[in-house]
Amino acid sequence: MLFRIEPGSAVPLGDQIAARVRRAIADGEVAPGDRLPAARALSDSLGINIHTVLRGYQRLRDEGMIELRRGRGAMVLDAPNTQARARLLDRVETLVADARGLGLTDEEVLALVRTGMGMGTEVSPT
Amino acid sequence: MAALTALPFAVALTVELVLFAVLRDRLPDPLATHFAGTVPDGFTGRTGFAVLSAGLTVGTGALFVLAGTRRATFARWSVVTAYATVGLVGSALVSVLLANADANDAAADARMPLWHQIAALLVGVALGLVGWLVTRRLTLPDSLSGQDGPDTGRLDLAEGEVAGWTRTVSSRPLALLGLAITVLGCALVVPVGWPVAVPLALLGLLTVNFSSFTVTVGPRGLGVSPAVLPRPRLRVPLADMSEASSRSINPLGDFGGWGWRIRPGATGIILRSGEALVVKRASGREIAVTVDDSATAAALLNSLIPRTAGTVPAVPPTGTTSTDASTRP
Repeated sequence: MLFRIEPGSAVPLGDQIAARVRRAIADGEVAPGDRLPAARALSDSLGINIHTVLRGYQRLRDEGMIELRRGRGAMVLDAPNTQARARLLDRVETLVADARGLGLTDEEVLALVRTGMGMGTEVSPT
Repeated sequence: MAALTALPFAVALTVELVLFAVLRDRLPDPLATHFAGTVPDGFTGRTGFAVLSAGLTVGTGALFVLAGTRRATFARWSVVTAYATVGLVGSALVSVLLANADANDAAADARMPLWHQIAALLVGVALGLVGWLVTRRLTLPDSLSGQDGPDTGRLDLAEGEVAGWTRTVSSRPLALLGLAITVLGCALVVPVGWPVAVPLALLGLLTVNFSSFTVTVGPRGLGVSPAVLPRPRLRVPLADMSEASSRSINPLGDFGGWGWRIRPGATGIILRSGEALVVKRASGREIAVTVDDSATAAALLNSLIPRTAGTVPAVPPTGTTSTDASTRP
């Protein structure tokens, strides 16, 4: 599996790795039940610290994308909606990046999402 | 190759004829030449047997020499089969002579001991192995196959972008073979003893360790190490590489077998046939690793190699001042 990262970017390297895996799940490049590269091998190939890779993997686990088992490494969660959830999370990431690019504050973004969900406007941008 | 194939048949023929000449006066006529278990049930005249055994040896030998092929894969197997055949047939013919020696009446006195029959099988296997070993180097072509593989191109890497590729390649047959040898070694502790059992078990574990490899490609170059233990590992830094390619490897034809192979001009970590990442060192020596998605790995290496040679650093210094927060990997 090919990983491309930007050490100069403001996005932490662990998050960049998580984003790459999430996109791979969303695109079907890795399927539910597939094993991800071992953290040691991945850190070795990129020339970065293994803990950086593990941070990315832990984030994916917290998102319910993968499971981490001692001795068996990281596996894409074998659930029917894993791919759809990866697509959704990928779009959230895009949304956040686009909103920041437009200069919106976090509260403004949340308000937009709440409005989109029909949950009223208790947090007003004005 | 023909001489190599003919040699064991010539040796077998000589042994048979010399033994026949030496034993001639002690052999009955007719000879017991076929055995049911250890007891004879078929007979042939003494001179007739000598002619027949010589004819059989020369005939099979001629057959193997004529059927010999120049195609590396088959040539080797044909030599191995020839050696195994001559071992089995030759020792069977010798056994017949020995079984008949000093018998007054073939039917009553000639016996074929069981160990002679087992010995014939073992000689066959042993000579097959000899055939395997003597053809080790001979059948390998000068260079790896698929020399002009399709151009893998390069990855479009942005300046400062770091890319790495990793993949694991495993061989289930090799893992099972290793397990079987280990179990056999453990089982032999009591009946045979430590001196045989322990090396066998260790050999089995070594085979298991060599049945799965992790391949990494990135700013540090190429790395190949067993997936279980971290050693032995193969490391080729980018500075020592001239080019990388993705090619189809034929284990028997290119490396004479599977596993961690070393041959003139190339090293191979060969767990299956098919696509392989092939890296050429500055010395011209080639490193082949059979691994899926090898084209991506080769393209990545080909885009990283020029970085080490010249102006662009392989890894940018940490803390570069890029403020492009929206950039995603």
